[in-house]
Amino acid sequence: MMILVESPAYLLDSGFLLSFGCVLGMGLAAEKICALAGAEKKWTKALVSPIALQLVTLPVMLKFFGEVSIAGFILNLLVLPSVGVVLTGGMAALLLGILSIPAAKLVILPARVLLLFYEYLCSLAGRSGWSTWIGGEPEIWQIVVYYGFLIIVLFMGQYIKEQLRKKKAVSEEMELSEERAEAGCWKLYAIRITAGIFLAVGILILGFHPAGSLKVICLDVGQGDGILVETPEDHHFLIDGGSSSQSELGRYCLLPALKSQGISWLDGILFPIQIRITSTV
Amino acid sequence: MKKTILIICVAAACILFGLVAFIGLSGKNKNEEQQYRFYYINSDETRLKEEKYTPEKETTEVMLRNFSESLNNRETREDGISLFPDGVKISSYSIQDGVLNVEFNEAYDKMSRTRELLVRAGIVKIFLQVPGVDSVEIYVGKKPLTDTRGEEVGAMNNDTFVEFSGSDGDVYSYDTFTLYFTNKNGDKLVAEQRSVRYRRNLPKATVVLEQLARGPLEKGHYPTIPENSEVLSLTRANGICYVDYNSVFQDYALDVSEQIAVYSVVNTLIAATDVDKVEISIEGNKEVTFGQNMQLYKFYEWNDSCWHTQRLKKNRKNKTFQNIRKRENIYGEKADVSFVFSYGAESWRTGAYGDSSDQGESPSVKCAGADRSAPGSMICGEVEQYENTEFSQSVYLKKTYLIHQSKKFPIENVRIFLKKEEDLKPGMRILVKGTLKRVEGPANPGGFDSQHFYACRHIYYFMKNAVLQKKTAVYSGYRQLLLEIKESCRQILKEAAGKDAPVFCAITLGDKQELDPETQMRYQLAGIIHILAISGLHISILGMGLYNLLKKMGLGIWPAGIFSLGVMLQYGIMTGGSVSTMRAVTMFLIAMGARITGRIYDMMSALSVTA
Repeated sequence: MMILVESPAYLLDSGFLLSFGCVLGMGLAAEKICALAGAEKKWTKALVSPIALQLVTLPVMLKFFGEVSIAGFILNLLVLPSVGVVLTGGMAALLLGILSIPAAKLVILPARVLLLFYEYLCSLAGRSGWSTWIGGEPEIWQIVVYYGFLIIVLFMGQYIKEQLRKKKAVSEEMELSEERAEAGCWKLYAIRITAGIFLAVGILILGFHPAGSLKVICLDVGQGDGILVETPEDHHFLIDGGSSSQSELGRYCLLPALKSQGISWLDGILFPIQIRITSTV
Repeated sequence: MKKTILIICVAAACILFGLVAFIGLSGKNKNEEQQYRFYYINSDETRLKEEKYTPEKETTEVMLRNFSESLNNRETREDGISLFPDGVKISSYSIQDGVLNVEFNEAYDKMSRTRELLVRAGIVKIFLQVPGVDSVEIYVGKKPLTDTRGEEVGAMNNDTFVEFSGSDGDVYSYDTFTLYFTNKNGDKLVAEQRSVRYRRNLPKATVVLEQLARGPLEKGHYPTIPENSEVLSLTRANGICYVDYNSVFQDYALDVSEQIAVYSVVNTLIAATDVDKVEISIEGNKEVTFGQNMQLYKFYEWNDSCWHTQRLKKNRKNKTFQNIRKRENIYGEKADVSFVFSYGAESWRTGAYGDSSDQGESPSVKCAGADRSAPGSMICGEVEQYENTEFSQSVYLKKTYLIHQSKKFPIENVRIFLKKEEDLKPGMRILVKGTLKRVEGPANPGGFDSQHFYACRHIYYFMKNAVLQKKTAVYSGYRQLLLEIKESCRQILKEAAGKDAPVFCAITLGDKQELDPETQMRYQLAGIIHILAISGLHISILGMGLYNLLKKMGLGIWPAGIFSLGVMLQYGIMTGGSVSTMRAVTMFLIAMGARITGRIYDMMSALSVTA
């Protein structure tokens, strides 16, 4: 209540949505997805909960950045548990640094080694071409449908969780006949499979971009041209895309634009022969 | 030295009073030619006032006699004082070839400088009405009147004075611009303030370039571009200014490096208008190489590197006037025109402005150390935080007021970009002047929506090119302390972590300023960018760590909880209070509260309270 009362605009802020989405994912979705995936042990839970988190924040990521890091799924498994070491290393170095710098240097060493490791992971992820999924900016209806699917899946998870608990309680009391157990298992499997299908469909809907018509987007690149063409055959071309008045155009304008359109591959970049307009005009 | 300063001061006062007097006088005698006027001084002794005057006969002799008698009798009206002070008398007059020689008694020299100027202006105004009098020359005793430099003033007529016919403020604008000239060695730029009155329909860019070509007025400043270089065309679009000079700009080289010439134009234009970049061409040709290595086919941006550091001096006002006077010498003005900017009328290039033959219409120049240094809006507010980027110092203001016609209007927060780095502290109230600009939304699909981002922080306007006018001495000691702690932490990290310092700064202090964009991009691609932002993970690790540590040290739940809470709150504020940090801190607060009171912490309710 506090943040939104102070400034309601935060409701649509990427930082706000991601931060709260993460906590929601951890708090609400994680255990249900875990039950759905059949993760009961501690380490399997640790593996599955980041997935739950990603599922919750997926539309937000796509809406604001146009892409989702797939490599992040795996990397985070390594990074998240160890980032505490980096943090405490840095903090300890800060406190020790007040007294003596060499001691701080020593304390921060393990953290620096870890950072080196992260860097290595990053470059590894960067080399493999599939590290990110460029889904493009989804429409509002796509997001709504996706969350609808997700909620159904979460209810399924809840149901499975209760079933499992009941089964546990019953099995403790008496031995079950094998038939009933098998039937129960089949039922659960069916739910799990449908949940999986629901999720897949949801994600596909989220990343769905209707093709089939010619689409031309003229980008505002300042002094210069930047025209993005999408043909009915789903080919993409960029015309020019240089600017003499804006710096780092690629990073701030072209890449976000391409990502928001869900374009991960350009079939060609066309450079018109430069026409000099004489100043007599 | 003291004497010169005194003289300069007097001259400055003369200019001011004279100006006031002549604005008051102007524009009357044209349409009512047949009416005669007599002049006296207002009670403040700051300006001339006029009244109708009916001579006995309209002949030269009678009118001269009437006027001098009225003057010597110290005739006046209730709301003013007579032109002459006690003792000053016209002892004789003679007319020769249209020049009226008026001889005063010695008391004339005893008058104060300002009074003398008013008297002189009044005399000239009065006697020029007499038929057959074309100019007036003043003698004191038998000697001709001299100015402060000891030079003869000579004959004066109405042309001695530039009259401002534009009492209607609509036609003219009056602004103070910053022009960039060079120092003696021609290797640094120096700023010079100049107030210019110009026709409103002229673009500011044209006005400043015109002024730049005219050369500096201050001592120690030297011209950067040839005086007869002419702007052939000037276009502004998309924050870029395209200037086309004639070939004089290139051919007639001054003793300055080509860089200085180009950047004096560029900086002057950027300072005066809202453009960010300047392109210079010569007679329509862009592919010129200016000098040896200045490619002109290029957009030039603001350049700080060739700035002269000591530019604002306390006695600049005085210097300015001294140089006006020097300038007059150069122009060979005979009359002591210390209150009249005759060069302003005479040397404005005719072609550029059309009918500048009419004196009243031509832009006049006043070079005064006025307080106004940049056009734009004036706002005041409290410094919330500030950061120094590579281009400018950026300050976040809260409790901001827009000052319009000396009234205060409360507005939302503003982020300002100061032109020059200032020594600011959080909690200070500052007064700044600059151009307010709405925060713009994304221009392209997928672009960063800064409009929304800043709206969350109650910021709807940026102020660019801001100039600090005033600041209060009081500041928030607490917030300054936090900033200093942060700064010293950064230093420690820098020493301890070497090249990894920026990453550690981001992780522990929430300060991404020095973080290499390349690194950020890599973390982003790998999907682990979130570790570089201070979030729940940090807060819970640090906060719980501290809490557990304190409990192990033997503190109870209460003190340990309260203490770690306090520390985390300070930490959250110190790291900049981003939304994720604040969420984490608030949730930690609730979690701690639950622990202290022995209740169960429910994450979901904590989350909804925080949201």
